[in-house]
Amino acid sequence: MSLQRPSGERGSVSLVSDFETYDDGVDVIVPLNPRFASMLRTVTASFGADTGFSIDEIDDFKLALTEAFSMLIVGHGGNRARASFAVTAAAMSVRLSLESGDDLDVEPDELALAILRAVVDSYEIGNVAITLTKRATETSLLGG
Amino acid sequence: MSEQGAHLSVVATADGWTVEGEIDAHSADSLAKALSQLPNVPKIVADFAGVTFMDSSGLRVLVDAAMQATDAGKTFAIANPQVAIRRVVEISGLSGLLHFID
Repeated sequence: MSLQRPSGERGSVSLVSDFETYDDGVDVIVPLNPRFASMLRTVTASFGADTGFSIDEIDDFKLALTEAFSMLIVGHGGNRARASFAVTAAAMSVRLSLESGDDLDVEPDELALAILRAVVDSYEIGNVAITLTKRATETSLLGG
Repeated sequence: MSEQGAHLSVVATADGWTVEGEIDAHSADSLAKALSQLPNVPKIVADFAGVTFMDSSGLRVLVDAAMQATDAGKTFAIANPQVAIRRVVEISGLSGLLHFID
């Protein structure tokens, strides 16, 4: 599946899903504008449901991704972000970076960090990407 | 009076507001604008039954409203929150400021 609009178009969104190239992952490219956070949450919900995560776990991941997206907007609003979703049998992760690959200028506040600490199993705010990982509980993997 | 964003609706009631939709950085300004005018009642209630998502930007708006209410000698409560909303308040350590009623 591939949906691509011209990259220079203002407000354009690219969604690329190529299971061979991305190893069962999905890349979503969106403008760094708050109104596109809901689109990332929609992708998260779909991705999480397909991989057996519980509703609560998906809600946690949506919250974490929204916080990370907001961190990028503060320092890089007007640019475009790439959210690379990946899943294994036991965990879901997303790597959020600038589409350009440039270094990040991120200064998260304590409230956002408190939320990240509580809702994902690990997070890393690196030089070029913010990475979030949520492990599925045994119950959700069993469909309970 | 009501405020409406792309995915948020805030409608004034006799004792506060009915809020529906998602509260994030995109919609928090609409919520802040609506909540900036406190109703003239001692117990202010924001009905959150229809709120399905809230991040830290929404928390900041609610904390501001709660503190404004306290300064005015009023109480501020969030009514009928969904599990996800209750959870984000609790994990943020703001349960002491933001009170729930069911």
